[in-house]
Amino acid sequence: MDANPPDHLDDEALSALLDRGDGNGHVAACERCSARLAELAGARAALATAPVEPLDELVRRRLVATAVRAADEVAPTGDAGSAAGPVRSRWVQRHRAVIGSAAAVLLLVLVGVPFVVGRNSTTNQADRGLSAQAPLAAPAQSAAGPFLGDLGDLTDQDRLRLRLGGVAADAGTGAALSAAPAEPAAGAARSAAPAPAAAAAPPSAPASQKSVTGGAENAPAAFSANQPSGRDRADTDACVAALLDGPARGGRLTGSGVGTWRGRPAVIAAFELDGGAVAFVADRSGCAVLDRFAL
Amino acid sequence: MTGDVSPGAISDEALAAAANAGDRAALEALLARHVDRVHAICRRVTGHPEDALDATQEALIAVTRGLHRYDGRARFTTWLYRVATNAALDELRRRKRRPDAVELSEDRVVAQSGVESAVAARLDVDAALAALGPEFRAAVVLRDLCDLDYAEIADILDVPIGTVRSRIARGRAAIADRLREPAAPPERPIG
Repeated sequence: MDANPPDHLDDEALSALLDRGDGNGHVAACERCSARLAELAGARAALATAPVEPLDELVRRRLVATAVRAADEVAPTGDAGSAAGPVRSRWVQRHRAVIGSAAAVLLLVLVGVPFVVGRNSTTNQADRGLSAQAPLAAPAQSAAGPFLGDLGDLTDQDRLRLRLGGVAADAGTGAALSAAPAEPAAGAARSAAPAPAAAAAPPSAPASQKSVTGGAENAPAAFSANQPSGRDRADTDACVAALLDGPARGGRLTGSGVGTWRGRPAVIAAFELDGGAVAFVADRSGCAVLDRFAL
Repeated sequence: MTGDVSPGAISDEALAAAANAGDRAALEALLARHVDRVHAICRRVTGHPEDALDATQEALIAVTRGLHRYDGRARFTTWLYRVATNAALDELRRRKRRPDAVELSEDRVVAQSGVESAVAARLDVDAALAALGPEFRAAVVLRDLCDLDYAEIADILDVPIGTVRSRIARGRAAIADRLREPAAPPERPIG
């Protein structure tokens, strides 16, 4: 029965009520509104449960394989939210001018870069060494920040601010780069050339912390004692590259390291961004950002 | 990726980050994980099997080419659904083809069981959706198939939340009306 006809809810109100999942006094008492609510709920259930004809397995594989191949093709110029062309030929036809321009720019870079690099070879040697070690094509500046090895508990933000903040300040003046104490490939023992930031670091890490590098469980968190493995460095470089291509885009790496974040192997990387210095903690196995904080 | 964890145990976001870092296996795993859902979205929004396949391919390619723009702040699936929806709407614009309910009867023969399936079996969902304009279909599909909230849908469709609420309501109402009278011919598309 219509207890209060003037208060009937229209479809929009009933639909919103359905999504909110809460009750309504009028609807509970109104036969007309409750019946319409049931109809809308039926429509929702129908759409949610009605099957779509399944993809044939071969079609499924072809769709994925074609898309994966596309990753190796021409770099995108379109909007991420807008779909790219379904076939290469269509995309090429639409962007022929852009491709031509890109090729010209690439040629210019290939010809011009050796001259520029040659003029700055002394100051850039360490950078190039790092870039060559990285498994991915990270920007040169991504390897400019010092790698601090195992930093232990990556939830201890106060301690990390001291470590990474100090390094950031030094990196900003160029001191960290010239000393390059944290780069194992350079052959320099960490203990022989402690970073300036080590003085500001606490004497030891929490006793309970576990190292992901396998041999540093009992080592103090002091910079000179942390001996990173090549895998530490490779994982860090991978995540730094991912961060520079994501939330830290445009930033300058000032320091990085490995550790654990709530029991998970993780990587930490500090960047100078437009809004200030920020540290990102990323999952070591996939580089998903787990935490971020200002330095 | 360090490669010591099976793809099934890795989150979408982690796979996306690894794919962004150049890990082709992670990219393939990510796409394989979601291709069915992308296809379902495209199928519902385009209302046409062939258009849906084309749109699905476009969406997957758009994911591979635009993945570097995914910053991990939102759920990966939200970003993915945006790409899939745009691909489906783009496909419709490209083909300038109005969804044709006559071509959409295949769903009726898919065997199901249970109460919900019985409801679904009575309804040719695509035929009901065909009575809606693409933007209305997209809103309803994102809400009831993808389970996104109004704010996420508003962001994807780039319309105010009030518009989303209205479109979903009108879409559901159209489906409900068709559910009540399944034999009725498709009406002129709304919107």
